[in-house]
Amino acid sequence: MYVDVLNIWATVIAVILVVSLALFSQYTKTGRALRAVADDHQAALSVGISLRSIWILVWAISGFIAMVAGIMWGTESGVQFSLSLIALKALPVLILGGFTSIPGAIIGGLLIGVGEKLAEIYIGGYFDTGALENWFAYVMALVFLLFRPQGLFGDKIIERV
Amino acid sequence: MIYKETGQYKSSYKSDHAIFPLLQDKIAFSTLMFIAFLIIPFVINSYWEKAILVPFLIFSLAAIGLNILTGYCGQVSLGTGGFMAVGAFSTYKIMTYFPDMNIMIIILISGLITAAVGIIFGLPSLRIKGFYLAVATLASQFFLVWLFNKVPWFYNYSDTGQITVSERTMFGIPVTGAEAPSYATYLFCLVLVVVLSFAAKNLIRSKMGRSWMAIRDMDIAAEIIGVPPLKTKLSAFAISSFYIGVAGALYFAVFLGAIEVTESFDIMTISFPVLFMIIIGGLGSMLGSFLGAAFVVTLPIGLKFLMVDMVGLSAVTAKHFEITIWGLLMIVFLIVEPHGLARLWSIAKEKLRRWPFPY
Repeated sequence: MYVDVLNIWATVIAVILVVSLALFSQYTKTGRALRAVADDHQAALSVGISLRSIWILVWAISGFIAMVAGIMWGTESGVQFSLSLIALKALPVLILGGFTSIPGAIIGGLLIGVGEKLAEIYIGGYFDTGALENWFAYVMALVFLLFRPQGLFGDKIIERV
Repeated sequence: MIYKETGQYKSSYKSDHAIFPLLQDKIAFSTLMFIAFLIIPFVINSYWEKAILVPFLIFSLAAIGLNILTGYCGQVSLGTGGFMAVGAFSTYKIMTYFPDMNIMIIILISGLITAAVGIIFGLPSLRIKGFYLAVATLASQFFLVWLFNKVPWFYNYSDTGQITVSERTMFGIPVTGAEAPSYATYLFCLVLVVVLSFAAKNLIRSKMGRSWMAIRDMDIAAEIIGVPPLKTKLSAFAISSFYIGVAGALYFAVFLGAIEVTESFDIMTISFPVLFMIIIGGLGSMLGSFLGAAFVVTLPIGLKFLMVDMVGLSAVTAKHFEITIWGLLMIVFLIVEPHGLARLWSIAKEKLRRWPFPY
């Protein structure tokens, strides 16, 4: 079996990033502050977390990770404007796994990535049309949300008036 | 003191409920209608029709549709392109099956079909909301476009996958197809837009519209005071999809004439621009839908004029700049004026009311 060096590197980098992010958000002081802000802005402010620096940090981290993903995707399949549409597929992954959960993102990514390809092979064969992967991720997320609105590992949604 | 309301008494419930309560508004609106119906049809040429007026009318209809759903009922949707494609393809199918049917009826039936599709894709809104719903509606966008692209029945097994409109007439004058004169296509769209916007405006002022707004403002509280969420949300989806479907039907039959679904109803060409329209124009405002549509339709033309003709950039560079300027405008608008152009207009009215006094 032939495995591309690039793919190995991509996997290694992805694993390192995911693990360090999970550790960062779970065990460091800043990571805890991030989760506090995500939970409730005002409560976070009132215990002395600086929202301004948290925003800068959050956008910087997300930009950095998106850049890494972009570089890896770009070396694999070329860079063009439609690359921005691929990013849209991150959304069903995220809501399938549930916000506020990094394991959720991993499992959601695997479910959608593998599900998409399996559907292409097993269901796509019946339709004789193919290209199911254009929409499969979104429909999967939609059906999933109908039964579990908070996603796989998301916090339970509690609403008050 | 230009926009003076002093001395205009409302002495009956009817005048209290008027759409345009002030004399100045009435005059402005009548003048606008006079120009639109009696002057523009005589001076319109092909460029104004194809580049500005007809796309403006069609996109304002789509923007009204999305505004009903997102602005009034609070359900974010990114599936506009998919729903417009439903309108376009049902028009095409009905046209080929019933060659003698009147084009106006065909377009309205296409709207009803789109409304039915909209109800199906609106079902998730009962369980999920906000950002989750936006992603769920992406499913309709991608699934519907794929369906129309890959299932040959929808484009009558043509080799290219394109659908082409055939000529249809109203009162003996062709309104669709290549032979249609500019004034005919313009008037056809104008009549539909005027009638449907009055219908929308009145719907929003009715019980249905008020329950949409209650759901938007706080859905649990609305449910507790007795607004049925199922009926309200699904009716918003149905009516919004009806408008978007009619817009899609016009986009195909009157404006473009021939379309290829993956290009014409792409998320980047329809769904996001229509969302920009209602954000820039003003969420939850009828006027905002029109202002936003006018802004989005004329901005590329203005920018192209400015950058290619005045500064002398190449067309490709100008196109890239255009995308950048779009992004910039979105951010600036959301920060500076989250309520959009409609809010700017109401601020201007406030200023005009007490002009020339500062306060």
